Formats: sequence, C-alpha cells, structure tokens
Amino acid sequence: MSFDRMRPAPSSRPEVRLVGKSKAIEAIETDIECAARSDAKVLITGETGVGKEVVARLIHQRSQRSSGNLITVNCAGVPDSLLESELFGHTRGSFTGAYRDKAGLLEQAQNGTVFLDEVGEMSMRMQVVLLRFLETGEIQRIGAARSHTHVNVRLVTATNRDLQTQIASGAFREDLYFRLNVIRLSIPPLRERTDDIPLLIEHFLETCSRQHGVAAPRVDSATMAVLTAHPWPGNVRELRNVVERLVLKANGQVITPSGLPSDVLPRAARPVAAIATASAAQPARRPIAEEMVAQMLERRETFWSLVYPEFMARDLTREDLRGIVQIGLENTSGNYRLLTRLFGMPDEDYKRFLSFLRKHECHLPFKHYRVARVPLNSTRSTAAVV
Amino acid sequence: MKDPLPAPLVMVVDDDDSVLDVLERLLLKWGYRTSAFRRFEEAKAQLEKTRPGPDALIVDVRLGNYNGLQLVHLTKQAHPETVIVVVSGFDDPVLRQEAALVGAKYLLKPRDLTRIKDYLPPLTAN
Repeated sequence: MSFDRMRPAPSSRPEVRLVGKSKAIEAIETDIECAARSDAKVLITGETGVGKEVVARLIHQRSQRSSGNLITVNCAGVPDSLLESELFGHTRGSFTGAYRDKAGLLEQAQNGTVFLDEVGEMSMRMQVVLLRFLETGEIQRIGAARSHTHVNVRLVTATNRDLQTQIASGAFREDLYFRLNVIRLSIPPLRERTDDIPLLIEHFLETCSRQHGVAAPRVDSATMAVLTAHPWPGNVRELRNVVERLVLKANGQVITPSGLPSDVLPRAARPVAAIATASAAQPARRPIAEEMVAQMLERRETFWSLVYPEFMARDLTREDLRGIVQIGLENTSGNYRLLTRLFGMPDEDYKRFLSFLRKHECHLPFKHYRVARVPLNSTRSTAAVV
Repeated sequence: MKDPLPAPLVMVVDDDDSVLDVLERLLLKWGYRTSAFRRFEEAKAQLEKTRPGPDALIVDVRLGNYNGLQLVHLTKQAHPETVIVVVSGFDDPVLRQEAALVGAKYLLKPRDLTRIKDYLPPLTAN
C-alpha cells in the first residue's frame, strides 16, 4: 500500500541520474539545475512512469537542502484522515489507536524536501489544509489545540493529471495550483525521446543483472529496433520491467525478438494465438495480467493482496490493470459481481472494487463481453477459465 | 562626441493582450525600450539565449499553465543585474513572499501599473 512509501529516504540510497542524451533530457537537466539553485516550490508533470520521482530526488540532491531529509508521500489512495495524520502528526488520544504523540512527516523533513506524489488525487479538504500550511508554515497536529511548531521545508509535487482540466471541473483549487507550480518541470513521454531508448535498455540490462546477480545478456540489433519502435505507454518504468524480465529469462544469452513479450512486439509479428484472443478493438493481453489472473483463479492470492499493492506501488500500469479486468470480464461474460468473486474478494467488496477501478480509469464497459458464451450466472464458467 | 546611452530595455511578459498593450504604451511614453512576450516558452527561450539580459523584467504571475515566478528565478540566475517586477491580478501572500525572497517587487494590476516606473531602472538624463 501507499503507507510504506511514506518514509524518509535512507541516506545510503545510491545517487540517481537521468539516462539519455536527447534534447528533451538536456532541457530537463537545465530545468533541474535552475530548480536546484532556487528554493521555490516545484511541480513536476508527466505521464505515469516517466521518472517524476527521479527528477524530484535529483532536485533535492543538488539543492542546498541535500543534507536534510527527502520525504516522499504518495497522495493517491490514502484516506484524508490518514494523509493528514501522516503529514502533520497527531496527539495522543486524538483518535482510536493514537496511543502516543506522533510527529508528522513534514516535521521529519525539517530543513529538507517533501515530495508529494500524485498531488492531483488530493481531496478538496486536504487541498485546503495544504493551502493553509503553505501560508503559515505551521504544523498543527491532529487533536492539538494550537499550532505546534513552524517547519522550514521545500515542497516538490508531481502529478500525471492535467491539473488545468481538474481546475476547470472544480476538482483542484486554482490558488493552490499557482502556489505549488512556481517552477514547472514537464517530462516528455518516452515515445517522444526514442533516441534514449537504447541507452536506457543498456543501463537497465546492466543494473538489473547486477541486482539479480546474473550475467548481463546482449540484445541483438533486431530486438533493439523492436524495443525502440514500441510506444511504451508505461514509459521508463514499463521499459525497466520488461528489461528486468528479459534479464531473468535470458540468463546471459543473446536476446532475439522471439524472446520478447508479445505486447512489445509489433502487431503483425505477434503470435497468432495472442492476436486471436484479442478482438480488433481490444488491446493485446499482457503476460503480467494473465499471470496475475491465473494466481487469483488458483486461489493463491486475492485482488487486494496481489494486484492492489503492486498497482499502488506503481509496479503495474493502468494498462496492466485494464488487462487484468479485461481477462476477468472475458471469463465472467461481463459480470462485475462475478468478477469480484473470481478475484478472491467477498461480495461486500463489490462497490469498493468498482470505485477503485473508476478512480483509476480502469473500469471497462461490460457490454462488449455480454455476448455470452456461457450463462451469466454459471459459476462453472469461473472454474474453467484461463 | 560619445553616443548617448540607449534607454533601458524592459521585457514585458503577460498573456493578456490589453495589459501588454497598456504596459508597452506606458513604457514607451516614459522613454524605455520594450520587448513584449505573450507566451511563457517564448520569454524563457529569449531569456536563456540573450546576453546581456534586459535591464528590467515585468512579468505576470499567471501565464497559461505556467507561473511567471519561474521566469523570475531563471532571470535571477542568468541575469542577476536585471530589475524584476511581478504583476498579478490577485494578492496571494504566499506568492508575494516567493517574489520577495528573490528580491522582486509584487504589484497588483491594474491598480499599481502606473507606479511601475518607481521600481524600474532610472532613465538617463534627456
């Protein structure tokens, strides 16, 4: 879950860097330098997986605050009360389970940097709380009668949402936007800097093989061309995940196009079976989605224990999640209630599950799957799938 | 005889045409040279490539998706001598403080526009 992302960055964490030589990367490097030399608030925008956290880390490392803590908080999927308690702390007895006074993360980041990721997901109430904090710099712990202390932190925020659209729809406060967006850093998606893909692949081949203690495989030129041409909707994170799987699978051998996952291959080159299962309007199935569905069907895992934490830790992209829902719907003939059971959740979780999918734009229309091959209420259909 | 010094160059950045027009007219009337920009990206590119920088920068806070204060930080780093005036249609204490931290004036428009001259570099005699 997101809680374990709320932590001070260990001081021993290795230096991060941007990999690439494209014009876009050069421009980002210049902007990072500008941001690091000032102490202004920074808003980092870009699609999922482009490396917003890496950029935030670089700004902190190169700034005058580098000797202080960098605290990362992911605002997505965390209830208001918990987010407020984590950021501002609480006093003993302020709510059930508050057995002692607890300092908030903003206090722990004194003289350092706080990185608020997915800030576009923040509720209106939390936006007001943050707005007030920006004005006063004062911390009032939950349950405390008055402000407890004044903190000096630098705020760096990030979002993959279009905040202007959210402002227009009333979901994000315009005054907060301009306070957070003093310096804006916009990171382009990987498909707009394809020159960097071979460099990133080489980088991940080396780091992943070192991390797993296996020999680094070599990627032949045809494979490199396929990987460079792929649009990478999950950006650098998706690329790293694919390379990591290749490293583990190849075991030091040369990687050829036939060794690539089918969703990375150009459509014409995909195995017939993979295409046959996906209708023209549907994206191709993703091996990771199939594997996760298989685990849930074999009752080894449930959606909440397997998919949810991976998604919140952003090891799964929205596309992956949609792939999982897609496979589920295919096997329940578009019945979400059955799908809830199929993924190992109790019936009471039906609404929670659907609101989770809607929130992350992964709620697929069920009608397409209603062309039932099996009766809707047949539980046998769930046992024989995938 | 030596050539007279050119009038100070004032760069104006505002995405509102009417404000840009009023400011340019005022500055020209007072005797300044001006260069005007409507878009953040164009102004940023100009500040990055031009040496020396303008003598003064007048910038709006709201520039489309961007905050004019980003240009202030950029100017402070690239052209520390440039005098900076931030103009805004709303009085935000946090942004006012941000401007003050980098030594920029924060004025409200339209109320304070005619007072801008007080904060600009002086014109040479004649």
